[in-house]
Amino acid sequence: MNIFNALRISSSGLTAQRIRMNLISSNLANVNTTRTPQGGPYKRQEAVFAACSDPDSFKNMVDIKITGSRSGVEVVDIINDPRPSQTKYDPGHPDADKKGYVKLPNVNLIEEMVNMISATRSYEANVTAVNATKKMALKALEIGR
Amino acid sequence: MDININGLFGEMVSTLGKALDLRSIKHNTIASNITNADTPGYNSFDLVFEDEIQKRTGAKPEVGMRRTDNGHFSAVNGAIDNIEYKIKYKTEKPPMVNLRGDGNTVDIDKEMSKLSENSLMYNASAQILSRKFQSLKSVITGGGG
Repeated sequence: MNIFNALRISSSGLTAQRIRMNLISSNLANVNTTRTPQGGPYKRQEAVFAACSDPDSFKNMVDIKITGSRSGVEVVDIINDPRPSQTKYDPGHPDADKKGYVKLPNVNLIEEMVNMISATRSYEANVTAVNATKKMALKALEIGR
Repeated sequence: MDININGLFGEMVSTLGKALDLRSIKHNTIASNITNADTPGYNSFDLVFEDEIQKRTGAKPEVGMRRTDNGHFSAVNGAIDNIEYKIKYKTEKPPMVNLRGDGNTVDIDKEMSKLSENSLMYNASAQILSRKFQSLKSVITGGGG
């Protein structure tokens, strides 16, 4: 049914934005982390979004053919930011090299804050869509009453 | 004997039913656009049917069914029932000034206003349909129920 399809689309958006929010929190929490299991400083992580829809459903495949667009969204990959680590002169730091420089994560606080606002707003937009869907479904149930 | 079923469930019910159908499909496209507001390379798309439905309501059917016996139901509802063949999904034009570098053409403000407009119109259609059935019931019960 169409209404439930709309709910699925919106909830895929909610899931994706929540994953993005988790990664932003992780980046913010590790802004000063110099040790990781892989060695070296923490690398900034980012989610890669791609439009998708249920491949199992025949109707969805037809929809994709007709509209040329896919309906939901999913996180297809989580990448490490390839930008180089920041270096800071801090001879007293236990992870400083011989010249006294410490490699810090390539996390930019301001960038993370901006991304966080963007993720919050996108999440809210999806919540609004879910609420509208719910109200429409309830209204349709009232027809025969 | 000619059973005039159209006096009861005529154009109005079928038009409103079709309108609800199309609104719920349109709701899906809008939800999909909102969900993919952060997906790189996503093209927003839309379902445009308001003009077509206005053209068709009250218009004579282009290809009518012929009644060979007075006992047959008349087929004046043909006009609205085949409307979906004339409705196309269209990819929205990218904005003249696109400040986004990721090739995404979703205008979130436009989508949110479309979302509220569409669900408002859906609710209105559902309410009118509900009133129609209420007044039918009132007629059936002789105004007593």
